[in-house]
Amino acid sequence: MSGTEGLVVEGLTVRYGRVEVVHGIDFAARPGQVTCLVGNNGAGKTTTIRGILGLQPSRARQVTFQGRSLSGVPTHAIARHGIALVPEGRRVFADLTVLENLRMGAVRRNGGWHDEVTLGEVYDLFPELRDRSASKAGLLSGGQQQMLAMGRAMMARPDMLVLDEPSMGLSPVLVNRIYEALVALRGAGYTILLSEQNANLALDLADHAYILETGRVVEDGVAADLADSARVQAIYLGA
Amino acid sequence: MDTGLFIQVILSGLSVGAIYALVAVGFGVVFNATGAINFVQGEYVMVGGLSAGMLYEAWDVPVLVAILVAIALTTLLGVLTEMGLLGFGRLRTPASITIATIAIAVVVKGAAMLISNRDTFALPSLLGPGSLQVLGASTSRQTLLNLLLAVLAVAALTLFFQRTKLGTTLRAAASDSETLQTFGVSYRTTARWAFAIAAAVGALAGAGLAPLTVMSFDSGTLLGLKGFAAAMLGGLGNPRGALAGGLMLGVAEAVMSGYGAAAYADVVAFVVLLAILTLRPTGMLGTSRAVRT
Repeated sequence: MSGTEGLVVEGLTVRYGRVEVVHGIDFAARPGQVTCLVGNNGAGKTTTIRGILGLQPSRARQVTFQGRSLSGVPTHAIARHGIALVPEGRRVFADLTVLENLRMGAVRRNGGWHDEVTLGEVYDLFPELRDRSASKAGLLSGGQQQMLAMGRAMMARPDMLVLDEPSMGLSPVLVNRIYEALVALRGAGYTILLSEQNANLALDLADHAYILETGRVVEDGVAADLADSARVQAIYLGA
Repeated sequence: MDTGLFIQVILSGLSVGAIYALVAVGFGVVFNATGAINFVQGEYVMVGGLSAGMLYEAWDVPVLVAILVAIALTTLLGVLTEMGLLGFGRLRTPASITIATIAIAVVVKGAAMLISNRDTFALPSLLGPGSLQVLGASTSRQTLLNLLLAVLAVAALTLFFQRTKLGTTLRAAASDSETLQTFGVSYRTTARWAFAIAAAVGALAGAGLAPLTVMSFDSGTLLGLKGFAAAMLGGLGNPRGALAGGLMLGVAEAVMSGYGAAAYADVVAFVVLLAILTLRPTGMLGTSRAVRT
């Protein structure tokens, strides 16, 4: 591990009010790779991501991205370090059109508001969005909203894409569609940090994975090797 | 029935209603950006009207220049409001911001009392004195100017919110400000723009009101409450709703003072507010929205 590239997290503790939910976890997301946080509901995946992005108060020995510290940096400034989030529950801007949502992804990038090139890439990856570009985002189906949230993050042209439970609440067909898109993004060289409950899907895609249980990393390693682990099987079976 | 009187009542109602509409627009802009009710809104109208009047009457500044300077000063007050609430006060929740705006309104009113020495000020009609004959009723030129101002301001704001990058960003903040932050736009940036716009629109309302009635340091409070009633009537956060709500409230008040009892005119706004809150809390043109908890 080079230690200065990608995302490095050491001793991250995140609280909701007085309750500590994530208890000092360590992990890293290497450039050009797909890193996955796998765990059941309540394992602390979303909380970890919110802590890193400054959306939830947290403490850590170290959180760095591309060698720069993210500790104590406000959320909007972290975004400008090159991290874009596809949040849990999609969180599209419901009252804005699809096209406006995509443009908002690039709102803080120089010339981003008129970036037709990246917009074309998003539309090529998700043709559904092109067809519905003038629709209010709130009227899209869940799968289309997930695509929109991913496209919006792509518009930020981030150094790292963070996806929080992208398969949640989607039908198997749509989940496959989303994961095909993630394979394409990995192929395009994106650094990806993914949180996922669907262990088999995630381990298939990921290079490296961390298994979370009740706010701690209980196992980590090369994703392909973890697929057979008893813990992963337990998550898969929902135990 | 005397049609001349009727037309006169409607016209004066629309004229005052145009002012209420502008105040209501201001409430909506801040509500969209922060989720809070900004009770300084009425004071922006007072500061706009009073400072324009003072500049004109006490300093002999040309009326148009006085109005522009007053709008600039009030916009600055809007920015200061944001800095006080979110910067100095570090407030973030709609409830705490709303409560703190009441305190700021009291401070602004007190400062205005000291600066104006409790004197009243007024502006001349921008289109000159004299009245116009409309359908057999006579009305001041300022009446029609106010209507035009309100319609133009609402049209301009609607275009701004729909067509510009900043306007779209403010709508995105209204939709989900936390997610907007993850794309690099800070909560304070959008909030500051919202307060500035709300204050500017409020000052415009004050400049439109000052030729119709004298302005003093305590003109703002009642106007703020009536503008709030108009905003609730039309649907909080929707500029066209604010226009409709303001005009309807103005006409309702004028009908009350023209045909009922003038003393009860001020009651109309609060009866309307009560009725709306009870029967249709989202307003006529408002839509309810889901809130994540």
